[in-house]
Amino acid sequence: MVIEELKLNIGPQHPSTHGVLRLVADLDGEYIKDIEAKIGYLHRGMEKLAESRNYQQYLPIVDRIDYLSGFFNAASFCYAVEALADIKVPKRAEYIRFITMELNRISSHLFWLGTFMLDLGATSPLFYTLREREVIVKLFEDLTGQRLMYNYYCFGGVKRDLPNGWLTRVREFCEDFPSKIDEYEKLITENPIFLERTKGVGVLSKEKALDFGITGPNLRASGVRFDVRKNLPYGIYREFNFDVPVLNDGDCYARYQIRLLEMRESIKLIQRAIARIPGGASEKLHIKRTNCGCNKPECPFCGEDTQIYLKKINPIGLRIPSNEVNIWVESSRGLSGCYVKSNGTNSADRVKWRTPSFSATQVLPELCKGGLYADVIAILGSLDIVLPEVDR
Amino acid sequence: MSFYEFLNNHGIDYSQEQEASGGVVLSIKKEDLLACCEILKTDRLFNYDMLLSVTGMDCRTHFEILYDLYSTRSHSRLSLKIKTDRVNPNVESLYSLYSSADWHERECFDLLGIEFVNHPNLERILLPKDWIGHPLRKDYNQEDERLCWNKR
Repeated sequence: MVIEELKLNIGPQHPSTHGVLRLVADLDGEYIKDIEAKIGYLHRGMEKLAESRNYQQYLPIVDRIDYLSGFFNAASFCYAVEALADIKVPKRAEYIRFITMELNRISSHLFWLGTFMLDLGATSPLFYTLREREVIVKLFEDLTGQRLMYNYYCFGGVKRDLPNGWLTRVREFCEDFPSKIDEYEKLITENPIFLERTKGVGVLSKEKALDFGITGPNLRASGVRFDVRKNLPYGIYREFNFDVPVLNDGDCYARYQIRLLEMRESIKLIQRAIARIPGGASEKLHIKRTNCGCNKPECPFCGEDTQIYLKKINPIGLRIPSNEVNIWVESSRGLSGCYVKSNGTNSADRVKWRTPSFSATQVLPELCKGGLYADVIAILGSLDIVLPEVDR
Repeated sequence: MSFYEFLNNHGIDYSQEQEASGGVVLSIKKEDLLACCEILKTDRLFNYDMLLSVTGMDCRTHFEILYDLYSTRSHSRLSLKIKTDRVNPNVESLYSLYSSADWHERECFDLLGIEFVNHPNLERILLPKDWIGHPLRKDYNQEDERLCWNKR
């Protein structure tokens, strides 16, 4: 019998590619002989767009780089411009950023979990995860007015204060959520079909992960303890002591487990941040501020720490002297970097986005080679690739 | 042994800059790049084992390329910066040391037209193969009629 090699196009329009990714696979029966990833279908020229816009005009666009976790991109761009222009961020704004970023991490992981299970053929987990994600998205909607593209951070803080009762709702969610993770675990973790599809599949060794510059949960599932929040802390992360979960297997199952552990850790971080946020809940802060009215910078009710920004930035007048900055932020997918070079005018000379999914897409063919065709989808799902972030 | 003594011992010329967030940028010569990365990666003490990004920049008179390295042993970051001419820009590829250089350098070639010598597969990655010009160059013509989708 003559076995012919088959060239198979997976994508660009394929529901399991989470965007528009094209994989060209050489199949030998059911086995992958060679596979090549082709990207660029979602290239919008994010870096080119920065040249023709001033800093303020560019800020709403950066949410679109990674639509599932928009806060991280906005945060890295804001931190970059704040470092360049030497803008001080008040404590309360930093706490609000902290809480929203961690909530965003959870919502992104939840969506990943649902779609990953959907890729593997399990439909019901999606309904469970979207049920919890909807709570977070509703919280974001009440806070920012948007469900995905938040446009909430501004240079020097955040755009508006928390709505009344918002922190209470977050607290309730945090109390409720660990039991929901237990529910997912009951449904998925010991499921024999799931174990068969993920255990020992797509093993990413430690050396290979480092060589390819993989970051985030994918790297930590391969046994490297590297988390930007811990190792190179930004914002107020250095004030918090938290665990960075690390697993050693490096297969799809480990990548699943690490994200569940991360969600549990994020919940603890949010709870601690809510307990410590300067000024506390906004409805009480408003009353206290009205009664106090001293306007001294060190006052716990109307002082600098409890503001959401210290000075409104004039978008035309924000002329930043020639300098450069390279900010790294731990987004839900890994190290998200923003390099900004200023040139003395109100728009940047060069903005470069370093995105974690770009590296994860690069390593995908390495993991798929020699495996079964059905495993390609499992590996692709487990790496948590978001294509707009790859192409920018 | 401090990091700078280490570089001096290996005969690498550098000049140090400080960026706004406090990170260190080392400007080195283009010819030294591969040797410098090799000793930084293989040295037991520093062991910069990750190449995280390759950023090309058009500075109008010349191109600059910024390499971000990270060491998971000492948990420190380092940026290396090199300069190359505007006419026929080229630099040695880091593919032999870091596999991640493959796509990052391709992206840099695609958007800025910098040639990476000894790169195994240097072709466009984000833009279509028949694209004309390199968009992140400052003299790039956005109104080029040949780039219109309907006329291609």
